[in-house]
Amino acid sequence: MIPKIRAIGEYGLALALMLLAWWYASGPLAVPPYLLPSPQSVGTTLWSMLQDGELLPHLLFTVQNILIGLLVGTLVGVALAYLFYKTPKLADVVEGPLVILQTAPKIALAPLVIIWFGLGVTAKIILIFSLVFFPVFAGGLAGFRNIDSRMHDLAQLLQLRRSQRFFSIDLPAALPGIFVGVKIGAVQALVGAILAEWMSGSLGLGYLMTFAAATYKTPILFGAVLLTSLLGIFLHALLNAVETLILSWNIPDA
Amino acid sequence: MLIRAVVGLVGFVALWSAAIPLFGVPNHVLPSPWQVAQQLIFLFERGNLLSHIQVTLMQIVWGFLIGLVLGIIAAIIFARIPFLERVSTPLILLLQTAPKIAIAPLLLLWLGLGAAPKIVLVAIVTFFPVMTAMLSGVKYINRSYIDLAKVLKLNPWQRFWHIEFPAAIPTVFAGATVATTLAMTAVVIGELMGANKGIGFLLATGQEDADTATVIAMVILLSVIGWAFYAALDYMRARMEARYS
Amino acid sequence: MIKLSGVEKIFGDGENAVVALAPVDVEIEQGAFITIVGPSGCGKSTLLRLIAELDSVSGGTIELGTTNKKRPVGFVFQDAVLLPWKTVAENIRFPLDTSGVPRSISDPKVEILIDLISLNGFENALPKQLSGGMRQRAAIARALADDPPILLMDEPFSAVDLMTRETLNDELLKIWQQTGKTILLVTHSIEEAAYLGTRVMVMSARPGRLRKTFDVDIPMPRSEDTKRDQKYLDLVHELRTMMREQGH
Ligand SMILES: Nc1ncnc2c1ncn2[C@@H]1O[C@H](COP(=O)(O)OP(=O)(O)OP(=O)(O)O)[C@@H](O)[C@H]1O
Ligand SMILES: [Mg+2]
Repeated sequence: MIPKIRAIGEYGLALALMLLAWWYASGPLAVPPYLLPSPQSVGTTLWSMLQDGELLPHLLFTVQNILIGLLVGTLVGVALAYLFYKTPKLADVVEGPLVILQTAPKIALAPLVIIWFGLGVTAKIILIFSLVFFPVFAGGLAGFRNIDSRMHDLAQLLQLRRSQRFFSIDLPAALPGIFVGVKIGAVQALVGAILAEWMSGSLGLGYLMTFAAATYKTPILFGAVLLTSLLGIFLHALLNAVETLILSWNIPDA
Repeated sequence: MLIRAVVGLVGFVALWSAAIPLFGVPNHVLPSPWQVAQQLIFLFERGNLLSHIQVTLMQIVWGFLIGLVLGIIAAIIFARIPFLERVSTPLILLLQTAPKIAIAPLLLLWLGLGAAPKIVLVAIVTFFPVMTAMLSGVKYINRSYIDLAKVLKLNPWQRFWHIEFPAAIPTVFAGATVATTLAMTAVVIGELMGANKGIGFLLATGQEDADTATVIAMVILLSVIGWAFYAALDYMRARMEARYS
Repeated sequence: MIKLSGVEKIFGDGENAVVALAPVDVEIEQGAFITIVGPSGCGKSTLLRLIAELDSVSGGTIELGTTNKKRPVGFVFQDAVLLPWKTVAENIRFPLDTSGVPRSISDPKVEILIDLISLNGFENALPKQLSGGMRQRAAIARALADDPPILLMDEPFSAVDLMTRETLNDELLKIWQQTGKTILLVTHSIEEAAYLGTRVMVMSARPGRLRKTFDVDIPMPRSEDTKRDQKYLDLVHELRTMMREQGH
């Protein structure tokens, strides 16, 4: 408990330090406000937008897309990883191109997805989905393949049914690998959401950024950047919390 | 593996060409591989594609090198002055968990639409994995090397240059290999968000014109560059590992 | 009664074929405690895995001759192979849960087993919180959970320190006497083989085969005194000489 409190304190301090530097640059150093608005002006802008109800729809839109994309991407990624794991023949054929795809910048699909699926929510979720899918698939496949062969012996010994085997051995055993993928996928999801909103549509934090940039409303731009960063940090913390909750067995020395 | 990849790719292209007449997909939705190739050649001959590729490559290479060097330097400083590392760890973790894409609009605001914001973005995403890898390489060095340094009575800098730094090199390369995909993503994001040159710029204009052939051609081009970039680093990493262990 | 007739196992084929087990004929009476010794690679694990149907035979037949239980054998692996995401109690209950036994029946059973292997107080601990010996005990309890008539144990105590090992040996003998199970136990320790078994099977390598069987004429229950019993000492000596001959 003590180290935890201390860590929170340290993070708080780090945040405060950054805030101070920001304030110093915009105030005493007199960097022009169209390049660096003061923390106060960003704060008040965000606050008034929140009160006018202009902020929440954007924030919720982004969050909603990320969550849906993350969820569907994870489910499909795990399902396909399991399919590949169970049918090595399929893996033999398809894995070659997948290796190349793994190093490709999947974010480049954004324009294609927008052309194909339009400017609305569908395109965004599909883009996020395809960004999440890959790392979860890769992590899940590695996880399934790394299962201790003696666990399979155990399953066979107990003559487990297919579903019993999946839910009580394969899935939990692959969960650490899946989680590695989900964590990478979550970062990608945020990137995809913001970029897609930046490039098309009129909703979301990404849209807010491009709108603010185009109309030189720097305080709004900074506010959106700030919220995006916080969203990323929050997502990261959330996944860490989920990890310690369901994967505590996998973390040495509880 | 490579042969399999090639075979798989050929199969993929065959499927792609077969699917178009089979499902009657209209051309503007999904052009055939042939059309994409033609578009690629057209862009080469008439659209100055080479100069766009050069711009993108230049941004990647410079950004990557800067991130690499800064990451190594930061790790050296942190390794030599543990107090500094201790103090800045929360700040670094915070920056690391914050999504780098959030910085992109600010870089565009501050540095304009040219190469600079992309180079900086690439450098930032490269910096973190390299620094972390280097630092852990120095920290988790085999105890007996440290003992050797003690027996030889090396001073701290000698110990660093002759023992810790070489020992960390394979780890640094592992970190750099991870960074290649991040760097590719960063450059694409930078160019999609605002640019007047580069592959990402062509990608963005292709989207505005709903020109799927160009878009697909650029996606393929980026994938190839990404793969070559990764393979090059991975090759160097493997060589380093072979030499050191 | 377990009856092996001409059971053999060959891994691979053609050039790469490895005869892991040359044809073995053996009959094991119900309630016997068979210990198996032999040099590394002589097919001890293979033999157990064939009996458990974890691998299939290349030739011959295996009759388990037991009641038509769904799971006739319990298996204890060399290291425990507990499911790391389940607690001790959940691990022990796992065979019961997966065959649909309701908690009202399985819970008291698990309680008895935990008593038997003296893991009281660790019911809700995760495997990572246990020592190697404790994990192995939990694995034994799991193998016993749905009361299989046959218990196969592949070097169950090799990862356990000597003191714990001796305690576990006595606990195992106690369980065997209480339940009347047929036990086949592989070990690298000649003393352990002589101390536990009603019969010791000696195997030899390349190709793996059954070399000789010794009946152990030492009464149960066995104890510290057994280890000074002349019959025991003679048997250990004889086994050791034999193992040495074949270049253990
Ligand atoms: N899955 C397998 N594929 C190929 N060869 C195998 C396989 N399993 C076992 N073998 C071979 O069969 C032979 C017998 O192996 P086994 O594991 O039964 O020996 P063991 O007596 O249990 O040895 P140890 O005392 O080291 O555990 C060995 O030569 C081994 O290499
Ligand atoms: Mg064995």
